[in-house]
Amino acid sequence: MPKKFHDLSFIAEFLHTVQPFNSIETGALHKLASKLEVAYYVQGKTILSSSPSAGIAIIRKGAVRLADESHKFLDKRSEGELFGHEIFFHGEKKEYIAEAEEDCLLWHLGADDFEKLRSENNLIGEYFSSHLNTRLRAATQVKHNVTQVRDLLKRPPVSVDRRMSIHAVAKKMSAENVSSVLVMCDKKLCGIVTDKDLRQRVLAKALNPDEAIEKVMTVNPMSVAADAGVDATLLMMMRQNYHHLPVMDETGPLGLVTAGDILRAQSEHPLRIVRDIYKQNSIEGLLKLHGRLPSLFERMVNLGRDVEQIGRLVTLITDAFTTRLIQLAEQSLGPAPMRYAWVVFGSQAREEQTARTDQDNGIVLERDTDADEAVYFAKLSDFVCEGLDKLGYVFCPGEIMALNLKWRVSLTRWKQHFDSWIDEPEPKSVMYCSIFFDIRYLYGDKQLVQDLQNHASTRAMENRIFRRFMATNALLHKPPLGFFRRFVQEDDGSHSEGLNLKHRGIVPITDLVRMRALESGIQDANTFRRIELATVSGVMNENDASSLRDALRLINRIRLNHQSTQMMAGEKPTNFVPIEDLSPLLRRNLKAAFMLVAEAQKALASRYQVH
Amino acid sequence: MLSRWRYRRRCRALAQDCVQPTVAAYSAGCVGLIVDKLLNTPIISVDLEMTGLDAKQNHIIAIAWTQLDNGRIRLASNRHLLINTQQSVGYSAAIHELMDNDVARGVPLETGLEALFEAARGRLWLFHHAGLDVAFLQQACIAWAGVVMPFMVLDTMKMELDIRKRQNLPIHQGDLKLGKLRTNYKLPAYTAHNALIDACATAELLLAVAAKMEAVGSLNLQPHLTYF
Repeated sequence: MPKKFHDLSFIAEFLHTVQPFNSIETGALHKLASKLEVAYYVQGKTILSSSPSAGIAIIRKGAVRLADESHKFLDKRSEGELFGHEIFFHGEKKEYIAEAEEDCLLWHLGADDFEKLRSENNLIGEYFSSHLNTRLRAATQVKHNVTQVRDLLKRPPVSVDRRMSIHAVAKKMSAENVSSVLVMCDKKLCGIVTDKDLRQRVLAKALNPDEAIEKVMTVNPMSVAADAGVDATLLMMMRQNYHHLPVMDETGPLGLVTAGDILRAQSEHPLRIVRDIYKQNSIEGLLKLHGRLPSLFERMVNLGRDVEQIGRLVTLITDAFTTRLIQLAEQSLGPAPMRYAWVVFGSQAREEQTARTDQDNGIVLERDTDADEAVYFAKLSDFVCEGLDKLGYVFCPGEIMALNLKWRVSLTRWKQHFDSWIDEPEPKSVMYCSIFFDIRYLYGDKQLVQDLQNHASTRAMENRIFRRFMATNALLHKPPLGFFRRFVQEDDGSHSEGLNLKHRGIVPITDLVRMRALESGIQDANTFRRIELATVSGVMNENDASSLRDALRLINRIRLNHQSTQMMAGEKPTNFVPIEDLSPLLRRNLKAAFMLVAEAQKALASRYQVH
Repeated sequence: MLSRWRYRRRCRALAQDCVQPTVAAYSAGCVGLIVDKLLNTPIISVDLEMTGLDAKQNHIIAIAWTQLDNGRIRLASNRHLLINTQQSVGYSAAIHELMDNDVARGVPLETGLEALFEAARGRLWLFHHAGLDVAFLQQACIAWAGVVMPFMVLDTMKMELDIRKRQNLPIHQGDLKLGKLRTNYKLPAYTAHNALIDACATAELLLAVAAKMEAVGSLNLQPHLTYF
């Protein structure tokens, strides 16, 4: 026999990066490698016409689209991932077909070899049968959905007597570490007080804390029976916008349930991906995780999480990707030569991102750079922005990115930027302001950003002429008057087809709310929190606040549902909704929302005497 | 290069007359081999490492191959043989990274050839830039079995050249190198290099090139064959 060796280390090397094969030792890995067959599929070609197939396929290069028998998108798999075996999509086992979404190089493992591998190697066997556990877990979760709120209670309720002083109640809440208490009148529930009540009804109104708690409690709060279904309860809380609900049985209150408790119980937290992001050491690793976003997004939307929370979650994930990229850049470039901060603008700053988003960011430096320092930050920005672009956060068309030398400057120069826009408002600078005033610190030295924000918000608050320019700008995007069959009725009498929810709905609202933030020096960028803060500080009345909040929620909800449907169909998410896709009920609601926005715009116009 | 007719005549002659059993069996396999679609044609993808580029002066120091059946590369068929040659690897070590002491661990050239032609029986040869490797193999066979061995060959470099000529695309220096072409076809980059990796890399490239050609018509391999 000639001396021969199956030198498969170049195969094993890649297998080693593939779950679950990364867990097996080298000898077994080489054995597995020798069983594989390499095949190539051109884009669009059907790889599997039914599942589970004979054996499994490992994607060595390219991407594969899994779809159900009616070609509806189920999942996308890319380099280093598997398919062909039984797959549970969102906890449900489904048959699927597989098509090459790009040209693909696949490694096939035949049915016999796959079975043998599963039986011979415990870890691998467990991995593939753990899908069964996943199914069981998913099944119990579904069961959990219809179980009773009683199961969610973690502790007996903290209750106080109605005559107790506000001060004493607050002390008790701190001691017990709860965000709400039940107020009892002769052993009967008669009220509820939450952290928010203490803030809004006591602190904001400068009420004497020696007053009795009954003065500020919500009287006869809505409660839920202990045997009520979890889903129904969540629905009720969302409809009424309650975050805390007492749970009762015939003996009295058993405890409190929060929307958070329910959502936590219902699903594995989507933010698990954030933990995984921080474990990645390469763009390739991050790219793999990024592939999980469409299904994650769909799950968040379908779970009925409220739109504020979805925006926040999606942004948290973007933040994590950005932060990890910065950390990776720092790892390869070495520590920064000076203090600096990475800031984000626009929707990322507002924590209102959806499925479709580009990047807006910049760097605030401690001081001007010398040549070497400039190179460092150029490389850093290049790495991070390019990385984000690869991850689908495409380059900002307006070039508002750290990549752009203009937005990678010292604190002093940043202040000069803002000064020039505020002192000499002209259309271009006002447009900049609508982006740059939505600013949020993300990474590095927080103080630099705080200084800049303090400076900018003080300057804006002082300068009414500047704000008047901003008000004109805020009136540029107008909501449509109504709908007429397939057309949008424009206010000049013309018709246009389809509806851009972003430009016609979201942007007008964020613009309106930003005006309030500029007027009262609010530095938070999130629209919902800006509304809240503006109400507390009195620049906005409760009525206007809830109008704008409701309108924003509704429009965003429609947009998110639309984008989720598009993504599940394998399309690119857009902000553009054909009118015929909206049910008559939605159209009516949407029209009402637009009217609220139009009214708020009118109020702004008269306040600044602009049109 | 030979005509198809002369190639077939040589195969038949060797199959009948050659006393070396491996050569006779290989030649009989050539006679019986029918080449049509990629999917139906058994193929062996081969790469050699040499001490230089002159088939008359330099020696083979490694032979590696992998087999394709039904349009798939069977990694189980991978073989990588180092050849123990008397000639020093010299400066060529810089290219293939094989040192004299590696080569000393190898098998005699005859053993390597015997294993190769057994594996190649009934299969179409695949090389990237066939001319060089075939020249070395033919020299080696003359020394080993005293015959000029017939080869029916598919060459990925030539296939790509044909594609580009047909589309009137310019061809620059280095464009047709294996690594460059794999990048163009978006195939994974291999960081390491040896004869086996290149044999597999060539086989993958064939699948990608064939897939591209197939998009404009079902790919019959017949027009792409070369005979030596």
